[in-house]
Amino acid sequence: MIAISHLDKHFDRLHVLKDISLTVQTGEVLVLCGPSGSGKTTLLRTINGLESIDRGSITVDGKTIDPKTSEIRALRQGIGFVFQQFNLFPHLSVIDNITLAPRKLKGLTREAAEAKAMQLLDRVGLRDKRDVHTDTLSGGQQQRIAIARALAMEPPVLLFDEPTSALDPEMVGEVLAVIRELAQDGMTMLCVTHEMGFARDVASRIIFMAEGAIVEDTTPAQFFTAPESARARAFLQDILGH
Amino acid sequence: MTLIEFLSGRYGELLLKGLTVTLQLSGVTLAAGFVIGVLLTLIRLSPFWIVRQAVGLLVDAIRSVPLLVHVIFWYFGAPELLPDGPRMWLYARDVNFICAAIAISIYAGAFISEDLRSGLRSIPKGQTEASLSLGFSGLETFRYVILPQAFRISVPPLLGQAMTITKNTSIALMIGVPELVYQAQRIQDITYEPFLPYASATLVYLAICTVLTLASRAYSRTAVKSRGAQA
Ligand SMILES: Nc1ncnc2c1ncn2[C@@H]1O[C@H](COP(=O)(O)OP(=O)(O)O)[C@@H](O)[C@H]1O
Ligand SMILES: [Mg+2]
Repeated sequence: MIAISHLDKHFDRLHVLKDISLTVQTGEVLVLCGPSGSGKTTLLRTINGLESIDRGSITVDGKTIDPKTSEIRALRQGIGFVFQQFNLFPHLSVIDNITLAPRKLKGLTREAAEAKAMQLLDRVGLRDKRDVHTDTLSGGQQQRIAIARALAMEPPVLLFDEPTSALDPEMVGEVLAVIRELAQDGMTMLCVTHEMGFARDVASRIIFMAEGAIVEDTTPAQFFTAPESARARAFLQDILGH
Repeated sequence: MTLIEFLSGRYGELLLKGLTVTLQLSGVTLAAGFVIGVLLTLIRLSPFWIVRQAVGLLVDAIRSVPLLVHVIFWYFGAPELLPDGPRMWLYARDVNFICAAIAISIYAGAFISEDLRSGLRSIPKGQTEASLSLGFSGLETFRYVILPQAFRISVPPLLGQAMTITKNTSIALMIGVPELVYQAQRIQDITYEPFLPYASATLVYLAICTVLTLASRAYSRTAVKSRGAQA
């Protein structure tokens, strides 16, 4: 589904991604973790072409991702992205946030797009919020709407960049529950998160990054019981607090 | 003479004529200034550094020169630069009004473009990224996501500009456009009595500005209300 090979990227002098190779099969759920600044966000952003790359290649469903080509727009429609800061459109109601892209990009009628959007609102448990203004919603609700907005384009792949780290602790669960359900439905996903309980339950693989490189690519069982690298051990100790 | 007596007579008529010209001049310059402001803003989004820089400098220059100088330039200077045909055309019409309108529109356009630009810049990068990630092009992103938000943010400053423009139109009296203050001055020349004509003109400006201020407040309130109402 996703194939990344020998990817390198710099921000000026800073070598943020170092020779990254990674393949993701359809239906897999990958959890990316690692210390802050290790390049997780940047890696995720290269996959939908929000960041360019210096060397190597990325293909999604066999098609090369290159932000400089005009095909990138069509390809992005097939790659949902969920941001840490939600980034809902504040000038649109909840339903319009979800229907904007399907209407303008897929040519769906308003009725068809709204019918679809209502199903998605059901799925994220926010049917009654259809006409409200997005900034009257709590963070957890906004993030669930953002997930519905991404799903509205029916992408085969979803990318999540720390979807719960901007949330108050009591709202983390409701968002993770939605992502968990997507995983059960067989959605292909890459999720940057530090929610280790979630990672243990949901991930098919854990990718541990440090200083721009993939240090471990392993199963949750292996990662949590016997991480190979010292860096992963230190990271886990930090994050699990013992 | 009371204000009522003063206004109901011949002088009231003159002032009303002046008000009509003031409103016409304000309306025309506000509309043209908005169009110019939008155009300048769009040009300033150009991918070419040199274009952005040139227009930026032009806008700064327009804003730093006093409006009176603009009016004088467009009335005394610019028509002389025209070829004969267009100049004749211009002089056959209300040249004072036209030149004042051009000067004020350009001046207002420069300020409006600053308002629009800061509106655009205040929109977080995440909005563009969210739109691009859904598959929208840069242009579609601008149209569906950025512009509507920038416009909403710009409404209160634009109403402020409308107020400024309305007051600024009085400068047109310097080149003989018979607007409100011009008429007040004329009445004073006849009656040797400054209070009533200028007080009346002042009240009119006050009324226009009050309406615009109230509109701006009402807008901010509805904007806050649609946001507030915390769930
Ligand atoms: N747009 C950018 N320009 C310059 N440096 C950046 C930019 N974005 C990220 N970086 C740097 O790249 C490194 C990796 O960042 P990031 O991918 O956000 O890491 P993570 O998501 O793992 O915390 C950091 O050192 C960060 O400061
Ligand atoms: Mg990050």
